[in-house]
Amino acid sequence: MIINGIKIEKTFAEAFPMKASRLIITAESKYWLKKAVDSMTGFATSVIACGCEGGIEKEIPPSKTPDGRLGMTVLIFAMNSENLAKQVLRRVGQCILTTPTTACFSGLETDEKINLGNAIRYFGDGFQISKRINNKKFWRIPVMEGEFVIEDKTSVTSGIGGGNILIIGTSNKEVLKAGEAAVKEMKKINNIILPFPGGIVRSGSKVGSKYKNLIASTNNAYCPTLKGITKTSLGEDIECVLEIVIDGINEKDIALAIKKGINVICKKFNKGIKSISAGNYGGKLGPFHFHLRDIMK
Amino acid sequence: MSYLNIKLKKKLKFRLDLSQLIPGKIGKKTKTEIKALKISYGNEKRNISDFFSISGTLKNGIIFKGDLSKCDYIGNQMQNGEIIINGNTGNYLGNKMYDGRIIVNGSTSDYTGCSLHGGEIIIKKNTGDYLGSSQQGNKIGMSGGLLLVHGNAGTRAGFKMRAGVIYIKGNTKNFLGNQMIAGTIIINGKVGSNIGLLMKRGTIIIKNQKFLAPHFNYNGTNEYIFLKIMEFYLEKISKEFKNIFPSIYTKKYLGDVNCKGMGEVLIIS
Repeated sequence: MIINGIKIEKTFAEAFPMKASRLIITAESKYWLKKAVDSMTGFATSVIACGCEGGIEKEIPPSKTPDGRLGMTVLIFAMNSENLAKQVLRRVGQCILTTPTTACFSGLETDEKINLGNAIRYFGDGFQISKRINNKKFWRIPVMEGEFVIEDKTSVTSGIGGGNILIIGTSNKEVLKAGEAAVKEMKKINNIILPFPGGIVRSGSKVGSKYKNLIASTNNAYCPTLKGITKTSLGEDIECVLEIVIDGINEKDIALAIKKGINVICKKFNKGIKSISAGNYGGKLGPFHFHLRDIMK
Repeated sequence: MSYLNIKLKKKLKFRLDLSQLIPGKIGKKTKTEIKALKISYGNEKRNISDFFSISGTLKNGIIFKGDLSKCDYIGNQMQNGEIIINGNTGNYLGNKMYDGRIIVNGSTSDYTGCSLHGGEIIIKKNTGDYLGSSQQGNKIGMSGGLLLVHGNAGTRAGFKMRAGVIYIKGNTKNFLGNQMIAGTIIINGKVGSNIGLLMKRGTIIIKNQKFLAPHFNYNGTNEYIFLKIMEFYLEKISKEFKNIFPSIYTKKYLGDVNCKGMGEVLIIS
């Protein structure tokens, strides 16, 4: 399949099941809101070493937040509910509780719950106050600034991690530009996040390594500087490959993000980009397969 | 919209207990069966039809008509549906109610919403003493739901209240939130003396008033975000709550210090 001169490889992105939660963070100003969510989702690029994957899903207007202030929704993904609970607790405790003017609420409603304020309330040392509003419990934790308001629990849902596309091109500059444009478009879609910094990752990995302690190492087949000494997947003129990783809470929105991303690349960057591919492990890693050509039909 | 209309036929000499007449209990009964229900009147057992005329069908709920100020326990332990009362009611309206809605286009007497667990009770005029309280001898008052009073309330509103929201648009008399355990009381009008006496936790919000209670400590002024959360929730129930907290910057008092309480009185100005 070729779209506007760019080849869409006959391959698929392989994704795996995760557990996810959505939080709504609000604050007095956009400045502090951004500080809080950036800090919370900053070191949350890959479960391999961060414990979770996280990112900003969308901005929500004051009329749609529980406290009438500007808000952002954050999606956090982990391999199981137990790890998710640990990561949510650590990140809310260290990044949201500590940031001036913020408040934290659950942004999901399912039967499976994990602690949010119910664990962080102990920081109040007995001075915390619970408040039940509309069958939801909130904690008001006294802090030096005034009060930190946080919902008692948040819900857990099934998620999918590891959706991806590889942008393959003839120059670093062009591939980066194409990646940036794709990220901008993909971020408009709800229920997904792009967990890596700026949504783009340059160090795509393969499973395993020659070193025993490493579970993942550089994807040498896609490294343009190793074309001569390794079994490469790249053509002669390829100088750069960048990956966009997508986590989401359903297959439909991940597929839509892939489609939108590829569409914008094919439309605007047909000179520098040669092909779009995807990372997979032969179907052995996960049950979710996003076939690029099927998505782009 | 079809309601079962229950109209009082004559003036009552003795009090009536109408706890049987809730949608959940009479929903599957025929009109004849409802009319034949036995009810205590003085020291006699009488049929419902001796006092009330019954018409309509119970699809959406029940409409009571007439002066029911001697009729107690209307909506007792109600679990669903709606009751509309066009007139005044007696004591214990919505006693131990779990869910549903009661609208009173008139006034209610004492113990309205007593031991309320959930649902909404909306009173268009005034109410008596012990609004949302516990039954005498019980440890816990209302533990959920919403009580909205458009007029005034009597003494000891929110007595031993455990959870839920009471909103009084008018005034209240003395001992508001007496022995309150938790929950929220919002008063738009004036409040009598001894607010929050022996209060353990919970929130009383009053507006534009001086608060001089020796059993409470002043804890400064600050912004309370939870007030906005509360306002948004109440706004969804009724537009009357729109902008009930024009400012969330309030004075805060904590007490009752005599029982090491952590109850709070917030003064909105």
